[in-house]
Amino acid sequence: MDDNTNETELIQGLMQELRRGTLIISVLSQLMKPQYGYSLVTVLADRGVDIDVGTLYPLLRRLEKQGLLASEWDTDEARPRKYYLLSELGKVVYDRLCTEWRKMTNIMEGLIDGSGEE
Amino acid sequence: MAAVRNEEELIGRYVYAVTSRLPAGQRADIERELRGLIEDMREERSQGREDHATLTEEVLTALGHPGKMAAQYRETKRYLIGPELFDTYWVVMKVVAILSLIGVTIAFGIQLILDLSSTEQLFVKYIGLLFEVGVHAVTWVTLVFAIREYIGVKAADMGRKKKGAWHPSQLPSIPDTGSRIRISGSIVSMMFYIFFFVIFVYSNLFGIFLHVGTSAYKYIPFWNQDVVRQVLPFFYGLLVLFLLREVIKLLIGQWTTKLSLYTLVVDAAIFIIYVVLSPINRSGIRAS
Repeated sequence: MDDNTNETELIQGLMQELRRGTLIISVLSQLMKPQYGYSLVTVLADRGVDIDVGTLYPLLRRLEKQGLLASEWDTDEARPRKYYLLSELGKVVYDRLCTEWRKMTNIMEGLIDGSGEE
Repeated sequence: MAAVRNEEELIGRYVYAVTSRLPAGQRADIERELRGLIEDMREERSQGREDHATLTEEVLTALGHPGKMAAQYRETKRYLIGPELFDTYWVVMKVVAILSLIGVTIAFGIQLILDLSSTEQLFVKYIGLLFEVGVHAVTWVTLVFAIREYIGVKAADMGRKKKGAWHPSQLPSIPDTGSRIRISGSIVSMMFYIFFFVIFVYSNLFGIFLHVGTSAYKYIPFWNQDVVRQVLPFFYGLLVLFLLREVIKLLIGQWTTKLSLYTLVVDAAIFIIYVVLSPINRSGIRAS
């Protein structure tokens, strides 16, 4: 019983680490058109990516600071919202990350498929 | 209406609890963002339900502890004393604590032997001094390590920006056993400086009661208190110099020409202060 909960916890922890590496690509991929924080949460959730708002909001600010995103406050609506959009640099970086990601998944597939062989 | 005001207040409290933990420059923007987020979440969760009362609480619970939220907004973790230094800090703190306890206890033990009449008063003073020495010890040790941490972080930053790639040839040579400064030596030295300084500052505690007439007692400290008061500022200066010397030794970690020079300067300063003090001392003796 105890071993089981330990195992589950361990796996959950490792899964979280794995997911963390994919978050930036996930976020960048949805910002070809402007989104505000919560709309991004919904869009990502619809696509099967569950991201905690406490993680996403700070991440958006960080990406903006790094110059990958541009932001603008929309104050016309009843509720002011901060919209984020890929910058030129962000687009270049996103393309590059996608290429790297594909390479990586290929390598990983190779590793996983070959794991049973000698 | 009252309920609404309560919810507003709850949201305000949550937002404040987050933003007050953040740098002032980011607060306004993050506050706006958080308020918007909370409204969005409330709206989404309110669909198809009647009980709006617990809605805000639910949303805020989902957002999690404001401290954790703020931590995620802060980019780098900031330490007064980081994980690399903490173990050493803890060891030093324990050593200093034990030395302080022993030092103060011995001092009062001597006094107790000299004067058995005021045990209760002495005990109160003992506790007081122990507390005071403790505060000093914690403050100074923490300060030294905080400076080390600060310098270390700055150095790491500069190294990363300036030099680019690190090469094994940059490794500093291992200091000779002769020129290596032992941390424990420095700590013991500092303890002694502080110990003697404390004894000096509280020199009025060290004295004896003399019989005057049949029932009256007169308390006479060992040191002439007028002289002590006159000399005290110099002693403060001395203590700072001494401690500075040890701190610099700890920071540099090995004997260098510069350090030897500095030690020489401090020793010269001590000599000068001694020369300055001598006439005061003599006049003090004459006055009493």
